[in-house]
Amino acid sequence: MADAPLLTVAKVRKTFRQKLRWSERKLGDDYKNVFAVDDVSFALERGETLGIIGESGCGKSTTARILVGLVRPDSGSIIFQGKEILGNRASDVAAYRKEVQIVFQDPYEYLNPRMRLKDIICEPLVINGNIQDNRKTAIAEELLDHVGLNPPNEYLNRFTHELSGGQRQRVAIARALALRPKLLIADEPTSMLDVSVRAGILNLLRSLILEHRMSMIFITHDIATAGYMCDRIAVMYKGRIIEIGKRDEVINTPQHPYTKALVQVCDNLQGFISEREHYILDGEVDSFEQGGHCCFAPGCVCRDGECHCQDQGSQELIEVSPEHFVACAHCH
Amino acid sequence: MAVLEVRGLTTVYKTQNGDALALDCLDLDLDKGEMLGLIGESGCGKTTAGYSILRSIKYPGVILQGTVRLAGTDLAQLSEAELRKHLWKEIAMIPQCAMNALNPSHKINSQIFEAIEVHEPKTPKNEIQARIDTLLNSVGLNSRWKDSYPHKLSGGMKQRVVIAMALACNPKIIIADEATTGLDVLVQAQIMALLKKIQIEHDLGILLISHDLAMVSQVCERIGIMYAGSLVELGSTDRILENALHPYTKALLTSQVSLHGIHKIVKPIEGIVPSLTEKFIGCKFRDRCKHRRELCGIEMPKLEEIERGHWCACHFSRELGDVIHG
Repeated sequence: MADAPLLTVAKVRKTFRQKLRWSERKLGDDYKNVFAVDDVSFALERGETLGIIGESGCGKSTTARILVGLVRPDSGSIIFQGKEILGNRASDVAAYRKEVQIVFQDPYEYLNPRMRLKDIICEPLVINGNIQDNRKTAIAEELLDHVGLNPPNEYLNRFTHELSGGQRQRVAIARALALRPKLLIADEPTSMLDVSVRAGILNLLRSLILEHRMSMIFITHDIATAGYMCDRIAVMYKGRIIEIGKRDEVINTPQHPYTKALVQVCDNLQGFISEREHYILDGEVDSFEQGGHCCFAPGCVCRDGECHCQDQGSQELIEVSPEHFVACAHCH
Repeated sequence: MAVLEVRGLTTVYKTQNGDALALDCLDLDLDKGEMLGLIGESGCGKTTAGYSILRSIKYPGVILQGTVRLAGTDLAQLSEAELRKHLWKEIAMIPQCAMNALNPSHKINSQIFEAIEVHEPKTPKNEIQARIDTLLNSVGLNSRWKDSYPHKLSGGMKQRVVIAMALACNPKIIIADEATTGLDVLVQAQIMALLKKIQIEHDLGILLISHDLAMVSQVCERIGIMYAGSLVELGSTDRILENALHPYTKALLTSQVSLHGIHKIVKPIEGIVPSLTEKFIGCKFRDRCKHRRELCGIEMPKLEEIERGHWCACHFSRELGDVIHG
């Protein structure tokens, strides 16, 4: 199966139940549903990097968490190397988890402050039971060297509070690499870092991906960073993928009004400011209700009756050019 | 004509390891109706600069020296009570994390009302109410929101309310400290558009403090770049983007990913920012600088006007940059 994609995600959904405020409750109904990930499907080839961009709360981090098994989706399927992961035997899932590793957003939060770096880095190996105690130092040294913390023996016995944000993120990457995964998920790995340090982490990830022939899902809110890192870009909005395609196509010829606005803001803010009404309605749009209609319609400038109709067709991804899919009733 | 003139403003934070020099002799002019961006990494003193100008630094922060001239009056010499008359009326601030700047237990209306009432006690109540409606409308919010509590509003809406409050007493200058940080990209753009609109309509001077060079360079007429407590470069946006003089600015520019240059390799700035508590002799950037020479370790470079309106604090800026003479 040389041509089969490494990972196929199909129609994954996750709904969170949010407890309503006392004032908003109706009789017998204390909760409302938040559609965090709604019908998300994509495929990832071997050695490919896919960028997922979107605003906060659009479901990109939930997607990442679903992929590493931290969140259980309500429905859908995830096929990794030809095997279905969801609802499968625990042993299959364990094997899958070895192959998929994640780097989280906030390096100040998720590294255990009581562990030494060498233990942090080797923990995945210990959990999976394929390391002897006397090999720990050697493996940790190799990995530290690999992520650019030189000389590695100086770092082995340090604690995380002795490191800067960029160094912590390198430790996290080293830990993720320990099991030699096939897929790395990077959930906004640079958003907590200073600008001058970001470039280092981005370049490190790029070279590691090439070197280990890994695939990567890179989650970010910055379209320029996604363009720098990824072969393909998926744009999410309110739990749905609204546009997905090759990097250059999404950036140079964006089709969905939301993507257009994102590119314009990043490319030419001055222009966006002066002709804003071409891109987005002014004022605040804050509705999380779910209907059959297009999720972007309340803030969209080119909406019409069709966007609000309850027909599922108005929100399905449609191929506008080869491998470039858009979910907008007006883009085809 | 500069409305705001800052000279030699120096602020330290008292720490266990001695004084941390967070702001080192800041000299800055803000012209009428101008938007000036102040850029730097975290910990470089840009927020401290904002608060020091307003003299609202709290202990352990202490302002050691410096003058802040606002239309002729030196804020640094005023008593607390006199200073309070100037704040809001002449110079207002949009604080960092504006989302948490609103009091959660008061309605929007009463918070703006209070600000106006304190500064203009003679204005009749119904006039203030009418003004609140206009203010909210001018920042793109329906005035019906004034009767809600802050938790009902989204982040962008709270930001708009805070901007409305800053405008409440018609100041001449607004200091916007990371006004759009933490907001979503499109909301950020809308808020920037709003600030730009206000700047032009009210002929306001805005000091925009931010770490986002890409955004600032698109909306500000001039940019100042800070490093480890000092202003290292100041000039018009175009000149800085075309011809950065300070090695730090150059490094900062090449470390940014831009949409045009996604095929270009970005370069990180090696090394770390020096500790602010150390007594520093010479240039603060020298350990990370490619062009360092002997002089850099001996003498601290001063901010000099290298070409018209373009200032730089580097001994070798004339050699490194493409300077236009005359």
